[in-house]
Amino acid sequence: MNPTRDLKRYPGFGGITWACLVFLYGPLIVIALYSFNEIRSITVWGGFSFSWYVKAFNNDLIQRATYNSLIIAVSAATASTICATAAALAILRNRAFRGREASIGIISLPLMVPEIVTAIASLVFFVLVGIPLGIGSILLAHTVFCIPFAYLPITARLEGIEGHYEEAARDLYADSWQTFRYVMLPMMFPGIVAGFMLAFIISLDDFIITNFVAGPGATTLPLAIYGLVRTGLTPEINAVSTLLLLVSIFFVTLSYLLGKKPGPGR
Amino acid sequence: MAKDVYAVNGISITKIYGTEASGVTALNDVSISIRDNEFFTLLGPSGCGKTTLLRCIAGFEQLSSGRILLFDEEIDHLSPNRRPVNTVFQHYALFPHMTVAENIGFSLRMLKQGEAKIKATVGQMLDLVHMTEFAGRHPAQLSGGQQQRVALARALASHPKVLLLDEPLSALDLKLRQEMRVELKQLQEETGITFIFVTHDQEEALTMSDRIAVMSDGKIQQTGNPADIYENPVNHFVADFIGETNFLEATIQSVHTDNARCVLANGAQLSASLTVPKEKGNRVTICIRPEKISLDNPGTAAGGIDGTVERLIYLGTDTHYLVQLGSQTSVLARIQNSRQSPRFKPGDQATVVMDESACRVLAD
Repeated sequence: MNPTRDLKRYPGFGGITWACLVFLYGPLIVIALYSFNEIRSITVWGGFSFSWYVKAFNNDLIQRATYNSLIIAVSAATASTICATAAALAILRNRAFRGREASIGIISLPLMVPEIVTAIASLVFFVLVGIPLGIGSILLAHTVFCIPFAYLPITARLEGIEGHYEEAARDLYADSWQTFRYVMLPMMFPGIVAGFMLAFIISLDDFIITNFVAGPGATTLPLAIYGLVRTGLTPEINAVSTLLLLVSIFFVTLSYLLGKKPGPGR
Repeated sequence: MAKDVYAVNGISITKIYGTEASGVTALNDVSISIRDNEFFTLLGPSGCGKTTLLRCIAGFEQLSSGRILLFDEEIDHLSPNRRPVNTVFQHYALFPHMTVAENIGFSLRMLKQGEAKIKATVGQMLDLVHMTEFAGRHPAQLSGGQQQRVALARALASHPKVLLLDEPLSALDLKLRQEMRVELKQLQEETGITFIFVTHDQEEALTMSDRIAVMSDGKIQQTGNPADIYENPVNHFVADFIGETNFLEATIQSVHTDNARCVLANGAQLSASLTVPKEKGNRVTICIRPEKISLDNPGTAAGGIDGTVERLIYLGTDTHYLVQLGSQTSVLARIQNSRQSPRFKPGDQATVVMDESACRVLAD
């Protein structure tokens, strides 16, 4: 008997499935739909229009916040991807390395620490050390918490690459750097790109940590949206959220596709 | 006379994985001398240390003790990329993101040779392994045999002093494997490079090698040319690992200069060549290959041992007879089905004649 068929026969299977789908995606669809609303309401439909998108694009605050967010996300993703790549190579490729087990734990721990705790800890740390709050502090915090996210697809990829390739490169007169540059880096590249994109998205939509460590004036897109919501909900927020959602979907999909196939590929 | 210069000279190589106390000894005091321009095979079952020895020469493993000289130069302190030896890996390890030509030219680029020179050498190598038309392909677009050729060309491109081959034929199907044996041997002769070939396949070893070292348990059991290894195995392991062999338990009755008179369990006597020190009264094992035994009708041959045909297997060109010699002992004889040779049925009496020079007293 086919087990999938069995599962479908359980009472309530269909209902629960639909409930999950509706609760997960219903709100998103509603948000996206009302971003095209003609009138200033997020609950009553008044006709189709792009006017809120136009308004969002012309909003100074949103423009600045988007710019900040992109700068931070690109920089933090780059920095964290470099750290994650180095960590993956050290942990997976160096058998003699003593702190191996501990390193794996330390790298993945931030995924399990409640974000609010990380946020407060980061804030206290910056204040204690005397790092001024602003774009710089956001960038630092983002780099750190993005490392485990970048690390995951990179290790997945690296685990699929057999050790023989490195040995072959060494055997053919490549020194450590050349082995990395001409053999390992190209072979790991899909994993690195996937890690970068995951880190980029995580940084782009982070709210809690950013809210704590952002100084006055330094606003990212999620903070700006939150600010707008407090002054009243308009379809303009829907429009910005929809765009952010599309960017996220695009990057996560790309990251998934690239990271999916371990082993040699081109 | 000047001291011989060997392509590879391994002196008392020991390799222990893990700690000294609780480690696994992969190589136990192995000494080996491989001549220049030789097709040398390390033959043995899996886990015998043959691949470890190859990896020690390549530089992927650090010796626990001992030394390795390459054309009289110490190489122990050199990392793999500084040793003028190249490896053909078991699964080729061709770089998947590079074309065939880029793979072959890799070592030359690492050695910082000029583009024109690299191009010329890559062309020669492609030609050498008959892969010119595939220069622009990626490894994933090649068959196993083609990948094998590219791996060979890549390893040979920089003209290494020694080429190491780690069971390179094991991933190929039988027909291709047989073709590649011939090609490998030719390639070795054409290039004049010393090949060190690792395999567990005795047929590969016998057909290609100039010399073979048979290994087991981290030690070299015997080194010699294929005929020597096959016909004059020194011990039980070598005799058993290569080809089919009869083992006969016997006691030495008298020792002469290069042979010994021995008594089998059933009281029959035979002479066997003796190359290891043994004394009268020693319990020994005598080995003899099935094809070195002939069968005659009872009473026709002098010096034979009488027995009873127990079983026979007809194989077309020859027949395998299992002949019972007393209650404890039986021998397998491989008799060619020529017109002259007598035929027997199970239950027939037959006289087993063993050529004295083909019987050997084993060291263990």
